[in-house]
Amino acid sequence: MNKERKSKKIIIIVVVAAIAVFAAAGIYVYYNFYSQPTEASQGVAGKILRDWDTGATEPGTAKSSGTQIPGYSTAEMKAGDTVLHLSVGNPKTNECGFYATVKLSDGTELYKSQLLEPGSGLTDIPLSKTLEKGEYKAMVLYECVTLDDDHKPLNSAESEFTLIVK
Amino acid sequence: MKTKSILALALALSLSAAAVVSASAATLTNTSPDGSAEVTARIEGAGPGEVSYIITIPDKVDFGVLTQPSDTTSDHFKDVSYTVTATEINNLPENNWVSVRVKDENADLENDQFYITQTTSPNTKLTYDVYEGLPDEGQAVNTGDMSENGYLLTAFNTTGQKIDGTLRLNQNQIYGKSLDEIAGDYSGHMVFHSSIITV
Repeated sequence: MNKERKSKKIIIIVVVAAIAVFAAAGIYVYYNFYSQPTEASQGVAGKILRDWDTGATEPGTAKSSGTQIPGYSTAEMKAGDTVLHLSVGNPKTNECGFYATVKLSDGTELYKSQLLEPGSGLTDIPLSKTLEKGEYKAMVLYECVTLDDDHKPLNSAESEFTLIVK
Repeated sequence: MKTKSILALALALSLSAAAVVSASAATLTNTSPDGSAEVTARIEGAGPGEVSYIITIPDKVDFGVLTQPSDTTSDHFKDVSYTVTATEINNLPENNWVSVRVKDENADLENDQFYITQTTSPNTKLTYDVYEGLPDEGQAVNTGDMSENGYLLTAFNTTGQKIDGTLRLNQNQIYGKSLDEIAGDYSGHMVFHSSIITV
């Protein structure tokens, strides 16, 4: 009888432990693969990465004074997509903040970021509207501001690229 | 026996749950080898959506303290230098260049000049010219009509290329004006428009 009770206890402990492991696994997978980005920008969410990098590979490249601006050739997406793969960010050697706006040449705004500090950026741009098949002239407007509380405007830049919608 | 079976099943299920987590971690590791959230966009052979080039532009337009001239029999220029650099350009196809244009932040096709504006009195503006090099080496880039994205400043096709240009303001603009009217801080901003072009 005692042996039976003991066995039951062990079973219960092991089953509870197994449930706990399952629950932990489920939570881990959910938050890493399925949870929506929470950082909001102008009402459209986007996941801003704190270790964004341009990918510059020249070793020992000294930063000259001024603001580094990323430029692009093309970007691609499918018609109806709501996310564009485009690496938008503020190079880590900069000493100013960026507000990045992705827009078409006719002024249609697709995305506007919150303040991007040096080293911050995103690679999956949530779009405020979908596009039909075709090729579009588009750009990333980088509005540069000082990093103090005033966020005073500085010179800015437009990086034009061809957006191919398949 | 029954107990052993239940225990074995529970253990197997626990191990499989742990394996799911490990597989997920492995997937993350494959896409971000350092195990961090770092995402890089490689310029060399950059694909669609990745950073293809980097240019460096001047932070701001700053003419410093201006001096009201006593006459306008000659020009009274105030020059400031600026640099635009091709910080990174790799594997650009043949006959492709990174074109750089420049315009005033408030410019349009009808009002295309460069201005600095008094911060407390936006109607008080002073114009300046933009040169690709030294003023005596050629005309200002803003001579003539501006195109939609600005005046053509330069084009790069190799890392390290740069222009050392000049911004020139003629202080004769403030000759004879009331100091009360013109005193104060002035600011203006340029917009640099870059694109890959085929020549």
